[in-house]
Amino acid sequence: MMYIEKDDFRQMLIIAKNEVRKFVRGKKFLIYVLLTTAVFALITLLPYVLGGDIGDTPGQVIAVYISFASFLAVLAAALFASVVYVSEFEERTALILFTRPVKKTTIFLGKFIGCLALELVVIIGYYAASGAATFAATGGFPSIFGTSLGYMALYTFAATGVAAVFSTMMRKSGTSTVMTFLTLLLFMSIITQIISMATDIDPWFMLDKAGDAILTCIPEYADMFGGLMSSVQVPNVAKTVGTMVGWGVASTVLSWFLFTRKEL
Amino acid sequence: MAVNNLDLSIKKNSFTGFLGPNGAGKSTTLKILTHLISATSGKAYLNGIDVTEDPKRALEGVGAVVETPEFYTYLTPRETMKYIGEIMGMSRESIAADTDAILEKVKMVEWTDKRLGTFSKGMRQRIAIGQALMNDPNVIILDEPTSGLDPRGMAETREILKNLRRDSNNLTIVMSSHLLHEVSDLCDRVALINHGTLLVHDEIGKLAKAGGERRLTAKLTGIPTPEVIKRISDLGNVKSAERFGNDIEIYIEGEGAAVAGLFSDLASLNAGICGLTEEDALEATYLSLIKESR
Repeated sequence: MMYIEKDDFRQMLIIAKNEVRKFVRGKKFLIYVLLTTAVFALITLLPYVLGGDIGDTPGQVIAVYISFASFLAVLAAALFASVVYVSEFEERTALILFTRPVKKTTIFLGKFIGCLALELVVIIGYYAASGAATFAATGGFPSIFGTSLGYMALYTFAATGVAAVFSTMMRKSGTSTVMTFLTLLLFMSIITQIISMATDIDPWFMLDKAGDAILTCIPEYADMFGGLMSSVQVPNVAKTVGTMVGWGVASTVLSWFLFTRKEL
Repeated sequence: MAVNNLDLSIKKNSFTGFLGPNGAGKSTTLKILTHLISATSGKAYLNGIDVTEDPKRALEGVGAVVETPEFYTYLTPRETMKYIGEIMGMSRESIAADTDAILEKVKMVEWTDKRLGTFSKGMRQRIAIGQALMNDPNVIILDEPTSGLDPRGMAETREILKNLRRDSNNLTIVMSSHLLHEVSDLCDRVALINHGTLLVHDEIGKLAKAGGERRLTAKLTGIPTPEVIKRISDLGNVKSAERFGNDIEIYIEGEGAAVAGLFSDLASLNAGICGLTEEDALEATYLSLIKESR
């Protein structure tokens, strides 16, 4: 049964803290921070170098920054969440942790929370830097900024859940990372597109489709591209939140089920 | 089926060697005990608590080194001990005190703050034993603790285990091993399994005598002649004697006194015998019981 007691919660936080330390001390985190910084620096500096600008209103400017945010979430899931469980078995560190008086559910949740917290810290950092740069460029701040960040946090949760499924299913970290990356970036888009083209069904329930809300919730973005791209729609909040939470919860529960039954 | 109807109770405060050939079910049994795998049926108790029902409570007070564990390479031994201690709910002071004492015990003090990624297999095994000692466990489970180590690493690990046994009044150790001399050296009891079934579980001294017959090898200064072999065969307590290369294998019945008698009898023969060695009694018993259980 998946139940949590007070001592389990304490252990969960210790495991989460260690998970954050593991990633922060590793090369992947450094690569991820460098990539995120590079994305931000390119968007901020390139217009100045070229002598132009990327928008007049706060909404237009922030939309450019945020258009790359969901990719950062996919990258984070592929780099961190996709290895968080499989590495314990592959590197045999589970032989130390699992023989301790700690429930597998506690280990699972501790690792998930640590991984998700780290991903969110970097993404919030990116949003904060983007907001500051937007304010510096336009003297204003988009009112919808917080909503986009909220969608982004939910999308990160769902992407982490999907990555966790591969991490508990696969035997090798490398395979899990590739499968996570391809699923979130390629396979899901293909499925969404095929559903749209081959049927009359609106694929609002697909994670990538719901993830579009991170950007399309910004009115200026919808104004700019709504006429050019029919797929740009102002998101339905309930459907978007429900889809992201649904994917996040379902994939997390599935990965928990797989993890607690995985044996050495 | 790796383990079949195994019924084994480990005596408190004993150091029990868990023996059996490859595939006998030793590792499976220890993995069930440490909750690394689940038994399809049956019960496994640690300190009276069923590990299949309540693994968290059963594993309190238990330290384990199963197979050859790997560590988080980004941690130092001190950080590893702190992590384990925190998970077990130890206070900051207890963790600090235990860490210093344990690293001293496993002779890793000078490596306390170096990251584990740079450690040799022998050093990692010492840390593995060290982490099993956190929070002063009363049960330690070791699965082939010297496996894969070089002779020096094996000797160091054995010394740590000997010291551990000597210094603790309330400690039960179960250790699986392939090395019979290691078990003879460290353990006071032996449990032997094959095909997942317990063959024998007793004090090592009693088990060593279980075979009844003892085999000794006599070394001669020259080639053994049929006449010398005949004279040895006719000695009291000797069941048989036969040539084995340039040596003579002698089978006798009886205990220490019989061996002592044979020594003096052989000396009086003046047959050029320059050495007499006895086959490891535990090995003889082990081989005979395993052969019978096939």
